[in-house]
Order: sequence, then C-alpha cells, then structure tokens
Amino acid sequence: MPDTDIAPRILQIIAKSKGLPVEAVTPASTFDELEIDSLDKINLTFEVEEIFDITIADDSLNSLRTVQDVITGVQTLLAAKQQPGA
Amino acid sequence: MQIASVGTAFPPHRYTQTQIAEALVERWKDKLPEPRLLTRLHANCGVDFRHTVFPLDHYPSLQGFKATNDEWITAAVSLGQQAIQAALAPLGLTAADISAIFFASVTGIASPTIDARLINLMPFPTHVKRTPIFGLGCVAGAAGIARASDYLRAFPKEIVLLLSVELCSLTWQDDDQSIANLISTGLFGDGCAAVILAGDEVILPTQPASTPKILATRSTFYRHTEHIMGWDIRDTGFRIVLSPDVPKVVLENLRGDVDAFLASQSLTLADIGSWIFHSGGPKVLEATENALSLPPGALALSWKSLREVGNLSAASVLCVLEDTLKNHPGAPGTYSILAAMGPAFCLELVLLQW
Repeated sequence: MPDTDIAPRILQIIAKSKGLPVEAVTPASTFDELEIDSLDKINLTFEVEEIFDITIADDSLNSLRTVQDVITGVQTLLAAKQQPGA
Repeated sequence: MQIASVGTAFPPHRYTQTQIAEALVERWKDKLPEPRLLTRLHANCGVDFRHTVFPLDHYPSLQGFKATNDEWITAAVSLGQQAIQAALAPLGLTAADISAIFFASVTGIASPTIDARLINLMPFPTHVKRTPIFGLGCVAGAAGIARASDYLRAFPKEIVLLLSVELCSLTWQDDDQSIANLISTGLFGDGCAAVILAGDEVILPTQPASTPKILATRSTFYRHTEHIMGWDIRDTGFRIVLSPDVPKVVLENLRGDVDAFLASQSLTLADIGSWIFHSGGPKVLEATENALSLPPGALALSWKSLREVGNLSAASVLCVLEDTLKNHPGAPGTYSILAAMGPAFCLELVLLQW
C-alpha cells in the first residue's frame, strides 16, 4: 500500500470505530480528544493489524497518544516488512 | 505522632509481566477467544515484575475458595511476621512494645484474624488492642494510617502497628475472562507492609534521622459509586469489579477534595513538597497527575513501585512510603500528602510534615 493511502485509511478506521464523521478525525487528533480509552486502543490495534497485515508489539500501546502516532507506526512496520529478508 | 518506620515483605517467587501473561494464556487457552487481548492488556499495565505466593505452575491446582483462602492465611501469617520484624528492628523495638494493631487486607478472610495468629507467634502484649479491617481495598493503606493516628491522638504514649497483607494472585478466577479480570490479573501483585507509628510522648530507643509527623487526615466518601470497584463474592472466591470510570472519578473529584483539605490546614498545593500516592495503575496515576497539575516526576515513586511489584492494593501506598522514608525523605519542615482511593468509591488523605 502506498504511504499516501495509509493515513486516510487509518482516519476512516478510527472514525468508524468511534461513530464519528471522518472529517472529525485528523492526524493531530489526540486519543483523549476522541475519547479513545485503553480498551478502544487495543481493539483499534487488532483492526489495524488485520487490515495492514502487520504485527504491533504488545508493549507499544502506551506510546500511542495521537492518530499521527498510529500512522507513523503503521508506516514504519510496513516499510520494515518490505525490506529484503523481512 | 510520627510514622517511625516501614517494613515490607514479598513472597519468594518473582516473575516478569510476560511470564505471568504467558502462564495465564496457557491456563485459560480454552477460554480466551483472543489470547492477545490478555497479553496486550498485561503489557500496558505499567507493571514489569510481580511477586507471587506460589510458582506460576502451581496455581491451576488451587481450586475453590477454601483452598485459596487457606493458603492466604498461611502466607499472610508468614509474610506479616517478616514485615513486622523488618519495621520494628531499626527502631530497637520488639512486638512487646506495641499497644494496638490495625490489620488491613481485602484478598482473604480469617477468624481469628491474621493479627491474632501473629500474637501467638510474636511477643505482643496479651492486652494489645486489635482492629482488623476488611473491605476497604486499595484505600486501606492510607485509611489505616489515618485510623492509627486517630488512636495515637487519644494515647500519645503508645506505639501502634499497621499491617497490610495483600495476596492478589490468590484471587484469580478461572471462570472470569472479562476485561476487568484480564486487567486485574495483569495489574495486582502480592506483598505485605508493616508501619510503626509512635505517639507524641514516645521516646524511641533508636530515633530515625528523618520521619514525618501526621498533622491531619480526611476521609471522603463518594455517594452511589459502589459499581466502580470492589468484589463480587462468589462460591469460587473474589470476582473483581473494576470499572473503566475509575480515572474519571479521580479527575472529577481529587483536585477539589485535596484543595479543600489543604485549605482546612491553611495550605495550598504549592506548599506540598512530595506526594506519596497509591500505585493504582497507569490510568489512575495519569489522572492524578492531571487532576492536581503535578510537575513531571512528582509521582515517580508510585510509578516505580507499580513497575517493580504491581498494584498491591492496601499495601501499595505503604511500599511507596517505605521508599520515601528510606531514600527520599522530605527536608525538615516540608509537607507531603499521602493518599489512596478505593472501593466505595472513596478517598483518604493524610497530611505529613517532615
């Protein structure tokens, strides 16, 4: 998936999971602003893993504070997957 | 009166958070629709290590309330004795010097109580006054100090013991794969703490260099919040009640209650030099930092205790107190707040001066 497609897809996933219009979610949105609690965050990571076919480390969730953190994390994991030998 | 010393004791088995998660996934492999939900919740509890009464592979053999509670009694007596000795020895005291015992736990029950069993093992006076406390949960460490200080206001020549033993691993429920229980099995650990408090007219054989005096305490009860936290007691034992609303209650109430308490002592938040808080969990500690607008690192000892031993219910704030007394005492004249919240929901605040 091209890098440019990742952010809009993640915005859609988060908006849908919280029942919000997609315009209400931006990369700068914090989880606190979107009222995403710990459990929402865990459910979100399961969904993101399935859609992007990646594995997110269990202990990385506390470092996710904004939507941009998720976008950056997914981009990094997808890039690592495309490395030779990955 | 002063808080003269704190002693702690832990069971011999210590595991990483990952080892405990793996053991529970194996134990519940036929019951967990998504095992990674457990490992992911455990990995985000802010806990790195915990002590357990038994090796992890022994727990599946403990079935039913009687078996686990019998083990709780045996372990509580053993750990209690160790913690009391650790608290008394540096002061040059023995159990014979104690006039009253406050015993707090919410992870097991006994009658005669654990304090009574300890009197048969240690040279406590036969006229020692006993106050066993069950059900206050996480707030009981702070509330125990507050009730012990109430006692010492009446009896300033006496020395009292507060003992808390919490063996949370003995409350794990095989038939509960709720989110609350998955979090609970990731957050709570086993441990014990004993605190020695001395009245204003007591001269200790060995006076520690720096101890805090208790200036004031305040209990606050939040009406109609019974659903927030507690036990749903069943034939199999203690099933956890743990609402995701706990941080919300902290955010909505803590600041106002701390401000009002300090105002009653002609103080403000700016006068408080250090905070000795119950290590409730990441969300509770973050909510506390936000509610009180605390500077970075203000709750460092609570976070450290959470990482190293998990949430020990009533004993947690006493472990943070031990670390404060031994390694981070306040400068003479400065103030500290010792605090915990727990089932009811409720708050206990204790104002200390070094």
